[in-house]
Amino acid sequence: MTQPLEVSDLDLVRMAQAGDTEAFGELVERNRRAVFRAALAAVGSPTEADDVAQEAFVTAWQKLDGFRGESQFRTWLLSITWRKAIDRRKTISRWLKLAASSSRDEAGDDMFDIIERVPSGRRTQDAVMESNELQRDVRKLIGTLPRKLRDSLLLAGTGEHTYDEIGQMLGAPVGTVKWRVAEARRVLKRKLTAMGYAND
Amino acid sequence: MTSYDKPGPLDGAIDRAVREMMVVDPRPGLRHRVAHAIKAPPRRAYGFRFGLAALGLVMVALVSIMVWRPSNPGRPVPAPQVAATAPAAPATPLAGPQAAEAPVPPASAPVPARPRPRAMPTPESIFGPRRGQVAAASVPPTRAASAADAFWLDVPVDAARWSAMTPLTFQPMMVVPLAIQPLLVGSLSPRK
Repeated sequence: MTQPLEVSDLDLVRMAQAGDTEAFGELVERNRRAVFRAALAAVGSPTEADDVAQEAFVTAWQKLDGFRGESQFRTWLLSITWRKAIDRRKTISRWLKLAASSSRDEAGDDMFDIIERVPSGRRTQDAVMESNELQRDVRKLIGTLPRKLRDSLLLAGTGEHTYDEIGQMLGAPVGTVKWRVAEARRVLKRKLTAMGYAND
Repeated sequence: MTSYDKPGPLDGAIDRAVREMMVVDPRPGLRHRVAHAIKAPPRRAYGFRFGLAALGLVMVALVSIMVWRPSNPGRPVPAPQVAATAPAAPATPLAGPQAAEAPVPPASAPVPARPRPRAMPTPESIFGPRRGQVAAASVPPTRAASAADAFWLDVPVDAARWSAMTPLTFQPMMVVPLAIQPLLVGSLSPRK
C-alpha cells in the first residue's frame, strides 16, 4: 500500500494560481485554524474572528497572483489576516466607544470588556468551580493590558504560531515579541498579587 | 530577577486563561463558505458597471449641451457699451464747481459687487436740484435703461415687463416721386 504524496503549500498555491479552487480549498483547510486564532487574538470574539478569517481567505484568493513564493504562503496569509483583524478591531472599538462611552467599567478599554467569552469544553466541572474566580480575574486583567502586550501574549498562547510568525504579523523582531510576552505576564502577576492572589 | 519573574501558581492560571481564550476552532464549514465566496461574482463588478453607465449618460448629456449651445441664436454677442460697463454712478457729480465739495471715495476702498438690479444714472440724479440751470439736465427723465440695455447688462428683467414690450417695427420707407413740370421756353424771362 502506497502512502499518498503530501502536496506542498507552494504546489497548491501554483495550482490555485492556475484557477484550481480545490487546491485553494486545501490551503484553506490546512491554515484555517492558524488564521482563525490570529483573528481571534486581535478581535477577541469567535464570531468576529470567523468573519475575519473568511475575509482573509477571500482576499488571499484575489491577491494570489501577487504571491511570488518569496516567503511562506502561511506567513503571507497570516499577514493578510492580521491586517483584516486590525481593521475589524478598529471598527469594533469605534462602535464600542460610541455605544458605551458613558458607562465604561474598570475592566478595560476596548472590546475585550464585553466580548463573548470562549466556552471551555475541556475542563471538568470541578476544575471550573475551583478556579472560577481566579480565571475570571485573569481574563479581565488580560483585557486591560496594553494592546501590544496583549496581542503578543494571546498570539503566543494560541499554540498555532511561532515567534517568527508572530513577529511577521506584528512587524516586530522576535526578541521584541518575546519581551512583550514576558512583560505581559509580569504585569498580570503584579496586578493579581495586588488583588490578593499569592504567587508562592 | 523580581518575584514576578519566578514561575508560580499565577503562571499556571495565566496559561490556562490564555489557552481557554485562544484554543478555539473556527465554525465548521469555513472551507465551503470561502469556496462559495470566491465563486460568487464580486459585488463591486455591479457597482463598476453601474458607475460606467451613469458616467456614459453624463457624458452624452454634456456633449449634447455643448453641441446645441453654439447653434442657439437666442442670445447675440453683446457689443461693448460705455454706459453699460460704467459702474453705478454716485449721486454727486465728479465735475463742476461742486466737485471739490463732493466726497470722493478713497482709491483703496473695496469695489462693491455688481448690484442687482442696477440703478442706471439719470440726469436728475446727477445734477440734483440745480438741474434747471443745466440745459442737458432739463431733458425729461426717461427710463434708466431700456429692456434691451438691461438685457446686455444682464440685469434681470421680470417676465411681465418683457411681455409688455412691443417689438420694434419698421415702417416701409415711402418715396414720394418728384413731379417735374415741363419746361416751357416762352415762360422764361428774357435774359438781361
